[in-house]
Amino acid sequence: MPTIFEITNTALGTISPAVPFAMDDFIGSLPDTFLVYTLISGVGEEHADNAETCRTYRVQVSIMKKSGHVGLPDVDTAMLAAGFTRGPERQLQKDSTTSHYGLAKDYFYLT
Amino acid sequence: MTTYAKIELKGLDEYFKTIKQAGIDIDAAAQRALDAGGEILHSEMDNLVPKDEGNLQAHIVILGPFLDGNLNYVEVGVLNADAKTTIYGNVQEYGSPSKNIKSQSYIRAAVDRKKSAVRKAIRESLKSEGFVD
Repeated sequence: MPTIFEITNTALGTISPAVPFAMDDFIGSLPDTFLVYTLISGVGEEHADNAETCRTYRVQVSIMKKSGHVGLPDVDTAMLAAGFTRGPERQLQKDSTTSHYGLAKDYFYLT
Repeated sequence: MTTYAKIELKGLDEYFKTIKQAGIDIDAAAQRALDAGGEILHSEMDNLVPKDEGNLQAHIVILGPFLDGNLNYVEVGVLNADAKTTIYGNVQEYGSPSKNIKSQSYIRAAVDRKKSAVRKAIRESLKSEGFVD
């Protein structure tokens, strides 16, 4: 079974038009638009006979874009198609050095 | 822009109404239950928060319990902190991808990891006071 990182990686790879993305941090010069994903938590939800039967993962996908929050990459469609459900989202502070705006979106995945 | 979690006791309105009619002070019991849940969250946030000088850790507090109408709640997290600490706390929680700062969640992760324990503590507290079976 693929890991949550592989599942997320595959999902973000289906976004069209393609957007550069990375896990945790983006190495190299920053594109005008890019994504970063991070695993926030993985919690066992149900157990039976001393074994975990169900786990929820929370993954944060941060959308970074220099021109603001208009015309953002369609992360929702890609993540929902991969089996995630939508969670809360929050605007990040604009980076005064790189001029990127940010939006952090949480997604949940139940295994 | 504070970073915190809020625990509420709601959805038991009808039940609590019946109890109140019997002359029992449910609000005090509800607030003791929320205290118990809040302590668990606070402890987990304390455990997960990135520690350098310990300033952010020192600013994780429990506020409440509060009563707003018939809603009892507590808030746990970085509350009433100075602007610098608040911004630092947000950056640690959500990361700053353009600065290559990874999210080190201590609020959402604490809530996710301890939600069952919080529910259990609230229930146990109410149970110990004879409010739930």
